[in-house]
Amino acid sequence: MAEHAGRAAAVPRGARLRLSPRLRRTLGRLAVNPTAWLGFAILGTVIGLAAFAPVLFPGDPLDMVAEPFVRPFVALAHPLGTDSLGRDVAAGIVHGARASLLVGFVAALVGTLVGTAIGAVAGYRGGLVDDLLVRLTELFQTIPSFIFLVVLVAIVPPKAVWVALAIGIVSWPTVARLVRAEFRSLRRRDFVLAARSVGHSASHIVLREILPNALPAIIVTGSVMVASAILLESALSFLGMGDPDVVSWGAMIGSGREQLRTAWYLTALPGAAIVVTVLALNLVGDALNDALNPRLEDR
Amino acid sequence: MIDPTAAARRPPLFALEGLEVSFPGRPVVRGLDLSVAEGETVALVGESGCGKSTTALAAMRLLPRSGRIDAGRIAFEGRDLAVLSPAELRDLRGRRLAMIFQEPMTSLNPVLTIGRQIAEVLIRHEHLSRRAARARAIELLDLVRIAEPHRRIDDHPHRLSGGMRQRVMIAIAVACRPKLLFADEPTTALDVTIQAQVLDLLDRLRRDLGMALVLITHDLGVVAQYADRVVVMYAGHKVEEATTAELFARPLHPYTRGLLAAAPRLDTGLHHSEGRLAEIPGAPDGGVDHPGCAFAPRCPEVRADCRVTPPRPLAIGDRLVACPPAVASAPRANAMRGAHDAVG
Repeated sequence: MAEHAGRAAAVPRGARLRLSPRLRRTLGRLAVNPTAWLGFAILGTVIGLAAFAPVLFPGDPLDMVAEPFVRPFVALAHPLGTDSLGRDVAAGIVHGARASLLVGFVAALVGTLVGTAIGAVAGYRGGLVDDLLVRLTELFQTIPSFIFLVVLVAIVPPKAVWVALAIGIVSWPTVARLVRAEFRSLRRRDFVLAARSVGHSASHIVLREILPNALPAIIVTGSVMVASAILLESALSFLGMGDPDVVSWGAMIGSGREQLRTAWYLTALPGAAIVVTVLALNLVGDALNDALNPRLEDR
Repeated sequence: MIDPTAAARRPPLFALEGLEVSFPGRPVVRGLDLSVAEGETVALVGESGCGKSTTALAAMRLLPRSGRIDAGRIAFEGRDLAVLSPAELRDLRGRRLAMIFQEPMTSLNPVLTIGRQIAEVLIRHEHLSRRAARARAIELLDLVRIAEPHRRIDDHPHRLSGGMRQRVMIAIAVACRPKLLFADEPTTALDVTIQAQVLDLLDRLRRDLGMALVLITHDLGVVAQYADRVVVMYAGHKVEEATTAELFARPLHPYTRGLLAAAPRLDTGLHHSEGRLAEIPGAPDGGVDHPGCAFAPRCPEVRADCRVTPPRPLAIGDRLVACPPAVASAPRANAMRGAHDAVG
């Protein structure tokens, strides 16, 4: 039995997992990076809590389940205490992770896709197209992003998905500028001329030759964008502009702020959840930056 | 004008007729005629900045955006590349004509495996499946003499030496068996020992695949060994064209003579400590302020009328020289020996 397992392991791993050598090397570099471990461990925990929230804390986290202002670590049924309406803080934080992560990832995805598309076209085409797209990007960037977000959220229905889209819309210009700069420098590289010399089309060159070179920068920015989207969502919810049917960390801080002097934990605990999650995303971003940087590829 | 050297041969596979290329405010190629027969190696020679690379890029219609083809025909397989649509050009590039570049270190995409980069061309032009393209890529790596191709195919370019990268570039260029290959200083960035290997490889592929080769170089040793015919360019003009043997035996244009004299030679026994290497003073400047010969400011045999009358290319036998004084004083065939000694 053990011998059998040993033989199975002797099969080249690439053949079994069908990973590209580049991806395998990237994963290998991540595996030996303690920052990556810490970041992914925290993020994994948060994602796990979010995924199993209905199992861990069944029922609506917005229900009143106990007397108000139970302090943390005194009641076993409510380990992190209850708020001014007697709602379970632990349930709120775990369910709030769902809203924060959903909004964070959807917003980052939307922002990254829109930003990459606009930046790639502007950077590769140059000329008039570039001028127009840069003006558009600048137009979006000159509007204070949080004010713009508040306006957008006031227009769209107060649902978590719409909030996520709105955050994506205010955050694409950062990605667009980055991708445009990458494409502008990459399109002058010799390998682009070489690709043209064998008859590849512009779309092939943009998507399959240049984009893979720009991808590390895009992935790193994307992971940091998740963090900033979570912060934006929290800020919106703090102002009471988030989805009222969904518990979120920002909303918990917002509703706890009036008891800041008497029940500081009502703001501190969800605040800590935000800090830890955003920190984890930044650690992941840093680790990805190190792992994906082609200049550090082992020889 | 029609080139008499080509007319005597097979119909040309490729011909430039009166090609004029300019960058903003600066003509780079001026009225260039060039013809290449099937399976032939033509060397394009001249010092840096004389328009060799621009000629090749223009012929492939790959000039940078600021460059323009102002006039001329680029005849290839009965079509004029100068007026083809971008889609038609993309269909020809990589399939019927291809190019390899000077810098193998940067001409491969750093994040894609070499196998993928070869396979993409086959998928593009021969519509092979991924699996079939990969199998062909391994064959091509073997063809360009890369050891253990089935293992090398998944390597990224940074794991390959310069010579191996240039071999991969060649494999990409010849993947679809083009009829014409431009090689723009293919060995300038390589070690001397590797240079010979890469050039031998190119020469063998030219014979095996029946393609014509336009070899752009400033290395006269390379020209002597590999080229059938030589076109010497100066400041965007063709100043001399001859078979390789004739050119080296009896260079006529003063610029060609200067180039040959400037090439270091072993047999003269001169060491830099004993005597100065011959050189051509000055540098080619694009903006010549007189209507005459562009080489006149640097020419050791310049005459008054050289600066006034543009030199017409004149045919002597099956060669061309754009220098009337040189043609007038050209020794006949029985005086070849003397001309050669004058150079040495």
